Amino acid sequence: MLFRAFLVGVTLWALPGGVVYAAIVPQCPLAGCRLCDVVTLANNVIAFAIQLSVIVAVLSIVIVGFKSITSGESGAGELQHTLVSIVMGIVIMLSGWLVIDTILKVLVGSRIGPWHEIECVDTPVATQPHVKTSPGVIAVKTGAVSGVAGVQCPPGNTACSPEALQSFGYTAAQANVMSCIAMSESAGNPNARNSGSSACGTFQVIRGSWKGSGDCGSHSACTNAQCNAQAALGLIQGRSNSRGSIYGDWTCPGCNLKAQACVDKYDPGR
Amino acid sequence: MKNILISGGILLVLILLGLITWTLFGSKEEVVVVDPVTQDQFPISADIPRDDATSITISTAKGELLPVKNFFTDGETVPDPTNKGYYHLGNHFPFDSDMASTAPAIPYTITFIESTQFFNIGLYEEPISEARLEAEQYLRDHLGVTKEQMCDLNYVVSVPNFVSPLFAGDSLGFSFCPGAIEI
Repeated sequence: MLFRAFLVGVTLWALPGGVVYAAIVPQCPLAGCRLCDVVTLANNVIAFAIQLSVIVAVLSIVIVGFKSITSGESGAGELQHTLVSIVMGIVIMLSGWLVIDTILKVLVGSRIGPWHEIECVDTPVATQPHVKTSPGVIAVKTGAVSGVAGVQCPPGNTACSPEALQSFGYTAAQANVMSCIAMSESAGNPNARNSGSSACGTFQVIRGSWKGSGDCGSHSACTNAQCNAQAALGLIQGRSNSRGSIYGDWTCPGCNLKAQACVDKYDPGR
Repeated sequence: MKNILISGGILLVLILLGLITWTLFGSKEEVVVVDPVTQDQFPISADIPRDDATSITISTAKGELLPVKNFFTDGETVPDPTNKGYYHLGNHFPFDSDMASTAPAIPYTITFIESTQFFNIGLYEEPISEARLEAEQYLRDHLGVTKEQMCDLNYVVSVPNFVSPLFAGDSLGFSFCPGAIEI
């Protein structure tokens, strides 16, 4: 028993803390954590516990097998009993997981899709005031927020053009998406500030979400175009280990409907 | 019999372990962390060009040179202290982050990026139709150009989501230019 506990302890201790943290704790969007994130956290904890229990099951089988080999025929009965218990346990555990996962999905309105994945669903955006029309106008927009992607920062805007973002370390797909998002977040202005929050800069990164290093380590550098791009890239990369969209800090429900349209247009499938 | 049970049990559990691990982490992609702030991407002067000339030339979207008033020395254009080569014509957000929350709202900003001769115009107050008109008038006055010449500038007029979700991210254009969106 002590040996078993020791093995489990070593396994847990050896797991890189960052990996475990990234796998369990979801990245809250810029606007703050939502119910969906809490449910995702619960789901991730369950998923992690499942993995852990499987590891324990393997170790148990190895230990029992070793004991049965060293103890001769007398260990066969225990081995058989243990194997049956483990298999039954795994079946019950996975069944319970399926039930809980389904309940969680229904709770947050996620679609019934892949097992164990919680998908946050966008909430509808309120209809905007009608836009007047008049003769001689080239283009007119009316009605509700359409969710149609806007334009990307043009090449002349060195804060957020796709070319500039790629030079900051973004992949081509990330640069295309984030250039489009920058236009809807700040109008491509690295100095833009939302007076209603700490959101700041090209990608409107709030203080609590700021991820930067070196000269960009503090949120006070948020109006520096390179620092803001770096912080945004940090948020994207931070989400690469979670199961939601890597652009989730901008596409979260109620955050920016145009941002999801940018993803759909420039990096479909994300 | 015993060895078969042992082998079978271990194999079964390993398969289950593999399946669960693949299901949970199978779709992950490796992302290389890059520190983009290693050097100045656009090494140009941070100071307002000290040219006493009353007029200068800027490049249009067509690549032609357009003579305009020297807006650098009109007393209202300030260099961005953080982003080299960025100049703010008139309104701008506070450069001091501590002042940001108490500063009065501004209807628009006009930022000139020297390296690319690009004007970035952002509308930050409703009604954005009036904000655009104000920005247009300001730019026309300070460049001393006609409406037709304004349309030839290398520019974008847009509005962020926190001001207008309906028009966020769209290239609105100057109200009098071909292709402009009426707001």
